[in-house]
Amino acid sequence: MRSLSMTNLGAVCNFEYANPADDAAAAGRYDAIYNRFFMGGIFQKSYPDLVLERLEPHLPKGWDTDLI
Amino acid sequence: MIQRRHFPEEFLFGTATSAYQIEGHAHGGAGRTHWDSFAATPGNVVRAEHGQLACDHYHLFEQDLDLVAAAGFDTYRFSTSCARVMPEGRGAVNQEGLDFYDRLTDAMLERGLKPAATLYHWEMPSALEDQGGWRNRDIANWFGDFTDVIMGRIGDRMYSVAPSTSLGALVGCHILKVHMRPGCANFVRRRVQCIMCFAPMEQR
Repeated sequence: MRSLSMTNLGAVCNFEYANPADDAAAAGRYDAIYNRFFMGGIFQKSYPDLVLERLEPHLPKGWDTDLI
Repeated sequence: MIQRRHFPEEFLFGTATSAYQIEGHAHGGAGRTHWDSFAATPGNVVRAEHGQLACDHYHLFEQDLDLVAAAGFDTYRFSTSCARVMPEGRGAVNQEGLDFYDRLTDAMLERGLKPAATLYHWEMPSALEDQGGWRNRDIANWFGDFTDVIMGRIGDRMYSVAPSTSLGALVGCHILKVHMRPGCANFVRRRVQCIMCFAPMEQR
């Protein structure tokens, strides 16, 4: 779309607020997987450590070259 | 009571739809989507309802946009069904489909509505779903090709464009949870493999 000289391009995201009942670590993981996974890929060209900690073994081969 | 004057001048009010839910995919030469396959499978949908006609927006879009304008909205977010534009998901283009989105765009502008397009609002061509859909990393390129075709036609009049709707919901609900969409098992690996396809697509 940029090659068509189009502007005002974006993403539609739906975020959720993770408010822990009693487990702050779990809320942090939820926030990482549900929210920051997407924002990291789009804005920072990386995925959050909290995501990679558990999910990296499941990622497809070559995933880390996507974002360069 | 909160009123419009309480919002900044530049604040835009809008409403949104998605293609398969309203258009009626039996019309205009559209190809099959995964929703058609899902709906055609006994036991998946109450009363075996489907989106062949839906709201018949394909024929009634002028009246529908009259309602949007009459409600006082500034912008209208709609989606462009890939299967309507490229019935097999790739390759041959259905001119009727392109013509429809062209008419739809002009109808918005005639009513003073800013067109906000969504390239994918959960309407996957069956031909691409058969090849893995979001789990096949080639999809970033397939959707790139679709984007070139549809935006080559209407891109000159778009106010804004988003590649996909609600990324988190798409992966979390649509792809994983059987109750929300065509039978996918709920396991982590599928989810992360789908997310991996979005980053390259969003960057394209």
